[in-house]
Amino acid sequence: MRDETITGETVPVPESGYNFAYLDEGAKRMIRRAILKAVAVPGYQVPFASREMPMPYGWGTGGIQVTASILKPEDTLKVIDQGSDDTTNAVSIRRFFAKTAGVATTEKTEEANIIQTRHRIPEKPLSEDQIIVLQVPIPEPLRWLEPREVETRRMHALSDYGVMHVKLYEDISRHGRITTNYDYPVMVNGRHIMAPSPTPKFDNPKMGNMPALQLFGAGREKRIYAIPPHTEVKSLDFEDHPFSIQAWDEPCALCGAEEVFMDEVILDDQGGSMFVCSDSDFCQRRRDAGHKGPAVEGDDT
Amino acid sequence: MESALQSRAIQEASALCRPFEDPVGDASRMFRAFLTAMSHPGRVVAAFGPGDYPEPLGTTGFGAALTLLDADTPVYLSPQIGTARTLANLRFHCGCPIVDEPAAASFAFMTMAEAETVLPKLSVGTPDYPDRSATALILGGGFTNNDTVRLTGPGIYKYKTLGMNAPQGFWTHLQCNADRYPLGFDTVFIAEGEIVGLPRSTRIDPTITAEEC
Repeated sequence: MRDETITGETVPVPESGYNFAYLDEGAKRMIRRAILKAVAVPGYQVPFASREMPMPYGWGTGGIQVTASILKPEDTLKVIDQGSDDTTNAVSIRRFFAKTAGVATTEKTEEANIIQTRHRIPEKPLSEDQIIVLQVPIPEPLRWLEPREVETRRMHALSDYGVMHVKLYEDISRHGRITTNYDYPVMVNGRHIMAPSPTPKFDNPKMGNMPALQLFGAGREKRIYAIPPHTEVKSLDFEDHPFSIQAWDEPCALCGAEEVFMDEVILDDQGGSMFVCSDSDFCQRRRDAGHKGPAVEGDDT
Repeated sequence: MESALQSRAIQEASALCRPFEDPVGDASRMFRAFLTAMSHPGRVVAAFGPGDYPEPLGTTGFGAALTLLDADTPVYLSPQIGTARTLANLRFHCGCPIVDEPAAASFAFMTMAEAETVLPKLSVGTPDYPDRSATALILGGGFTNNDTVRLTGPGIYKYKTLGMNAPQGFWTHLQCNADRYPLGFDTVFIAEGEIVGLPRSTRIDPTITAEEC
C-alpha cells in the first residue's frame, strides 16, 4: 500500500485496478435506481441486488454500497461508528473509500458532504448540502413480530400496523414504560413504519424534518430506504406514554457537554466509570475550544 | 462492394454520438443531480450531458439515459422521441430493451405534448411492491418563474412553487398520481442543462381542478 502524508495525516493514494468506489458501473446504476425509488416513497424498503463486498455482513456492507453508488470524485467523506471517527469500523471504511475512490476524507462533521454512520447521527445539525448514510442490520421493523416477509410486506401495503402498537403496549403493561431504547420504530411521512437502524432513540428526533437526505442500506437483507429532507418522522408512542429520549445525570467527563448522547467508559475494576460524548468529533472540538469536563477540570497541562 | 448489412452498420455508426467524456465520473455527477432533484421536488437542479447527442433527447436527456439506463430497464420512447438516431444511441450506449407499451417500461421518455397520452398508461407498481413502477422523463418545457403549481410534501420545506409551460389538464394527471400514493410513477422534467424532480410523494396544489381522479 502506498501512503503519502498530507498535513500530518496519512492519506492513501487511490489504488489502481479498481473502478471508482469499488463497485462496477452496472451495480452502481442498479443501486442508484433503487435509491431514487427509496427517496420517492419515504420509509418504504426497496429491494436491491446487494453485492458481495470485501468485508463480512454486519460491517456495513449495505451502507458501503449506498455510499459507493452516490459518491462522486469531488466529495468529502466522513465515517463514524457509534459516533466515533476512530474505531475499527470507521477507520477501515474511511480507508476503503480513500483507497478505491481517492475521495477526500474528514473527521469534521461540517466539512463532509457525505457521512456514513453506524448507529449515530452527529450532534452538530446537518445541512441541506449533506447526505447521511446509515448502515442497517435488520431493515424490517415488523420482523421480530412477524417473521414471514410476505406478511410484513402485506402489512406495509395495508398500513396494518396494529401489531407494533400492541408490542409497545405490552412493554408498558410489563415494565411500566416502553423499553425499546434503540431501533425505536418511527412513522415516516404518515404512511410507512420504518426501522431507524439501531441508532439510540436519542437520535430519533433529529431524523424528523432534517435538512439533509438520509439513506439507509441493509446489505445482507438487501434493502435500501430513505428519508428525504424536511420529512415528518414520528416516533411511535401513546398519548399517556409519550415518546421520550435518554438523559444523563452528569455532563461529559471530558468536555462538560450536556444534552448529548453519552457512552459509559469503565475506568478500573473497582466499579469506577465516567460518561463521555459518543460523538468524538463534537467532544474534541469542544475541548479544543476550551470546554472542560469534571475529569479534566483543574488540569491545565 | 457493400452489402445491405454493411451499409446499415455504417449508417448506424454515423448516427452514434460520443458518450460522456468521463463515463464513470460524469455518471456519478449526473446521478447526484437526479438524487438532488428527487429529494428536493420542484427545485431546478443543474444537470448536463455529452456535447454530441441524439436531437430529440437533447444533451441533458442523453446524459440521463447514459446515467440511468441499462439492460435491466425496459424503456418506452414516445413517437416524437423515438427517432432512428435515438434508438441507435440507446441500443448501443445503454443496451436497454425498447418496449412498445408504456405499461411495460421502467423508464418512459416523452415530450410535454405527449405526456397526457403516455402518463395514464405507465406502471404504478403494486401494493406489495410500489417500487415496481415507472419513471417518466418529460423532455422540453423550460422552467419559468410563473407560479403554476404549489408543491408540498417530503423534501419540501413548507411549500415550493413550480412554473412550467404545461398543457391544460397536465397537472390533473400528476395530481391523480399523487392521490394513489404509495403507488404511482415518478416524474423528472428535463430541459437543457437543468432538471426538476417530482416524485409521487409530492402533493400538488388542490386549487387546480382535479376531475376524473
